[in-house]
Amino acid sequence: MALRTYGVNAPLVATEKLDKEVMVVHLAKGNYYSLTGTGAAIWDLLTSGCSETAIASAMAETYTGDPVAIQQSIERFVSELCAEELLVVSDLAATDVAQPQALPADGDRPNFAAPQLEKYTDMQELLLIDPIHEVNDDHGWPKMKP
Amino acid sequence: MRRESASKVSPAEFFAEVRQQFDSAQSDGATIYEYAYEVAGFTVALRFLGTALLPVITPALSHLRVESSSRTPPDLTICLWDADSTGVPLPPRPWGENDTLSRGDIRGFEDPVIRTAYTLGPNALSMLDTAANVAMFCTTSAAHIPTDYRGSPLLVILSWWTSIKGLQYVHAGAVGTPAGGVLLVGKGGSGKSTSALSCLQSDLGYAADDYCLLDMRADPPRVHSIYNSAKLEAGHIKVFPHLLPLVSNPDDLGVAKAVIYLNDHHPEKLTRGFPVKSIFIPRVTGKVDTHITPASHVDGLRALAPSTLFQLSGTGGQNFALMANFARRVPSHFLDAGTDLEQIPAVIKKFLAQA
Repeated sequence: MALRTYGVNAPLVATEKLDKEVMVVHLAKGNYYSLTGTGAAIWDLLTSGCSETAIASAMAETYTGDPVAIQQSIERFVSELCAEELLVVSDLAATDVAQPQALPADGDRPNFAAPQLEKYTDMQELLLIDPIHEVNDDHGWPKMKP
Repeated sequence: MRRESASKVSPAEFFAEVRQQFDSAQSDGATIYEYAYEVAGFTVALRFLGTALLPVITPALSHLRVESSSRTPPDLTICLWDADSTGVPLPPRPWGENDTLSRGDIRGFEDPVIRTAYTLGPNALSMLDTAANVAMFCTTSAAHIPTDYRGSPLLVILSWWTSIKGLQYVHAGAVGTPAGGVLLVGKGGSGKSTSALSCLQSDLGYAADDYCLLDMRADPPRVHSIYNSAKLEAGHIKVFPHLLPLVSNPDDLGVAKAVIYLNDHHPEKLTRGFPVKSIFIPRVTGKVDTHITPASHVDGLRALAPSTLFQLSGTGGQNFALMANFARRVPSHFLDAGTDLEQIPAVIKKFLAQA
């Protein structure tokens, strides 16, 4: 499972990176998300075709922390991204994926901070369909209730 | 799991049917009322079958009106009618009852050339033939079109078409001078309209309080005005008592926003557009004074993109990328708007003078 690769759930999901923050939008659900720090770095690697195992190795080399705990943290994060339908399992075999580059770290290796997915739901109502209509059988088109 | 529509009529075939309804009515002698508008340098012709939609569609666009010219073909032609007043019905709907999705998108009715949306509420069918630059807009009745929609009419069609031209419809207000201005971004209720309307008593020009066009081809990017309407929550219009007599819909303030057509009352306050110097993100503080503080690029994108993407039919990753590019190119600031509304234009003007 850990060798599985992932891709962005396009076209339902769109993503952009500004500065060091990743913004992800789920166009069908009306949710949007923010990823910073290790979350942004892991998202970049996941959407570049890296497996969870490869990412966990890179993280363990870049940050201090228990490698097993890092691996589990990444697996939980990936599960959350999939549960939110931001990522889908890719058809790419693990051998085809890009190998992660060493992640940048300033000075001494910092402690690994668990990746966080910040979720915003305040605009979901924009996607609600107005239910105040009925179907006119003569024309087959919705018609406002009087 | 994605469910495909069972429609056996293609979007191109359905567009032809819809257009045939309009053309047949014209051939049968129905009067066509034609109006032309200049939108971001393009000429858009509206051809109305009957008069019922005229007071619904045209007021918000009136500041962009130009004389029709038979010698110069328009860049886009939109044919409009309502079924009730004209007696011209819509063709049978080729998709299922449950295929109308949020934003007006139609499940299984996507097409690279023909764009289709059906907006519940106004009960409006919007179609665009992107190859022919011809669009159709039809509704069951002009009476069904809510006041809010009248303030930003033809949103779907104009958004599609301007996108093809490299412009981006955005959910934003805009105020400034010919030398430059600011884009006011944020979800509904964030203070866009209050900030924009507070500038009416200054020498800042008003381009929008709800929707406008971003032109990324320019450097710096420009904003273009589309609508001269101003919308305010009914309970909030009392903040601007001098605007109360100008409200176009005083009788339905219990259920709709107050809509003011500024071109009818303050045409001198309107501007066609300007270079964008900054994204401003209004925040209502409840304090007296107004000031600005720097915001990150992603703050600007977060305030701009979701409310645009979640409301406009057919928008997706490309539109998000364009808005992200805009947010990278233009600095963002929080506009901490205070209760002394006169300070808002003063703060914006001071920023623009230094930008």
